[in-house]
Parts: sequence; structure tokens; C-alpha cells
Amino acid sequence: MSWAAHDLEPYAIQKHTKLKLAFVPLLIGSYSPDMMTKWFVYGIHLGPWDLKASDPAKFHRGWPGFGFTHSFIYGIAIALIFWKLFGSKLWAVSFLVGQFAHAITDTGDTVGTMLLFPWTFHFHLGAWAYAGQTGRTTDAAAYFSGLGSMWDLVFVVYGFWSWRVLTSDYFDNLIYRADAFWPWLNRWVPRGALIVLYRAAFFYGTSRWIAWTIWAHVIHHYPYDLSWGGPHWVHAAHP
Amino acid sequence: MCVVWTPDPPRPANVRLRLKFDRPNRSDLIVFGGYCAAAALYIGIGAAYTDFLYSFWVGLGYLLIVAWLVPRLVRRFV
Repeated sequence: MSWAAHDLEPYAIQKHTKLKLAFVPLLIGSYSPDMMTKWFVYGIHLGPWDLKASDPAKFHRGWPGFGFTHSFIYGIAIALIFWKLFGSKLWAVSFLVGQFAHAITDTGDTVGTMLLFPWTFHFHLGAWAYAGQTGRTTDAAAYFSGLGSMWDLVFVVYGFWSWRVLTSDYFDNLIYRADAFWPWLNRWVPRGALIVLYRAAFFYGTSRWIAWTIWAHVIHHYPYDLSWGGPHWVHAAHP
Repeated sequence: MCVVWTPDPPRPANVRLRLKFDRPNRSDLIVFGGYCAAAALYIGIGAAYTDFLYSFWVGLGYLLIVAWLVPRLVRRFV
């Protein structure tokens, strides 16, 4: 799993794609595979109950489970709903691009994703350890000690390199005009707040990348292990 | 073999080949500075209380308050 790439990738995609895209569904697509499952992977306390998947990796990425949310067919199905039910081809394509980016990015860890579901083969590069089953804190420590965090860093640096994507001019001339959602929201929300909303995912992804890195390596001194499949001090899940 | 040399006499400035970096102007840097300050506070809180870092909605709400609402109120009342 990735901790910041899904926040940051939409800005890189927005800059490079030759397609006309709408930013909001692009971001929703980028978040969608984990939207309903992450809480159950890590587990929550609800009064006297502890709710957590018995096999978090399988629940999150496998079958039986919700692994299909990381497949192309899931993206296509939701995109078809946007297109045929809500009549927006723009939202459909934008969602699809975001969801594909998430599903492909998550092939980087040791569990990988069932990209071609219903074929249940897990495409995985195994570059960093999947440690969601260890709980939020250990997963964060492991992720920010391995190559996953370096992959996130690529998008942080790339975002700053492409700084024009984050400017108000870019928002006014491209983002706002590309999607009727923004003028609609602008009826109640002033332009200044819209720009903040647009920048929020980049701010969130970058800031928490730094915060987690400080937490893991300055406050707690977890060791870096940038070897392939690392960090090896955590038990990595496999398909 | 291709050889590239500077023309003599040099071409006028508007047709000369130059390396050009897209640099932010002063106004862009002021906005960026504001976001850096907001980020520094967010990172400080988040590193101390990691629960603060988990939710995108918390980050969004925080940024709306710090980067939009507070400056707006300050401009109105100061």
C-alpha cells in the first residue's frame, strides 16, 4: 500500500495527460480502492467491540475479500456508472485514470493487486513490504523506512518541480474550466476556498510524508532498509 | 558529425537559444511561504499526535481553516 502517492499522483497526471480531465473525480478515483476497506484492515475499537479483518492482506487485496477494488474491472464498472447513470463522460474517464493509477501503484508492494480480476493472480513487484496486518503504527513505521516512502518522495519532488500545477492561474484557467463541478460549488464557496480545496491533497500528501518520516526516524529511530522488499525487520505479507 | 557553434555575429536576443527555468514570482513565493508555515504546524502536531495524520478530511479541514479562513478573518478585522 502507499501512504502518500495516492494523494500526489493526481497532480502529476493532471500535468502530463493529454486528455481533458476533471480533478475531483481523478482524486476520488485515486482514493477509491481503499475508501471502504482501510479501517477494517487496521481495525477499530467501537465501544466494547474490536473490529478487524482476520486476514487483513487478503481482505484488502485478495479474493474472497475486497481486492477487486484494486482491479481494472472495478474502475471500469464505476466509470460506467458515472457515464451512463450520471451522464458525465468526463467524470467517468477522470475516475478511471485515478483508479488505474492507484491499482498500478499498489503492485509495488509484496502483496500486489489483482489487476485483471476475476483472474485472481496478484501482480506484484515486491519493492516494499506490505505490513497492513501489523496495525497502523507498525505499518507506518515500516512503510516510511522502505522503498515505498521513496516512491512517494518521487511524487513530492515531482509536484514541486511542476509547481505551476498548484498556482491559482492554473486553477482558474484549467481546473475550474474543465469541470462544471467547480462553478457549481462556487455558488456557495468563494474562489479562495476552492483553490485551497484543490491544493489540499498535495498539502496533505506532502505534509504527512514529512510528519511520518520525522515520527519514524527522529522520534522513534526505526531503521531505514531501502533494500528490495524491505524493510526486512517487519513481517511482510504475501499473496 | 554535427558541430554546434555560436553564430558570429550573435543573433538578436529574441531568437537566441537560451536555457530557461520557469521560476515563481514574488507573489507565488508569498503564497508558498504561507503554505509552508501551515505545513510546519501540521507536521508538528502530526508528529506529536499521529492520529491527526490519518484522515484526509482532517487535513482538508485544517488547511481550510489555516490557509483560507484565518487569513480572511485577519484581513477583515485588521
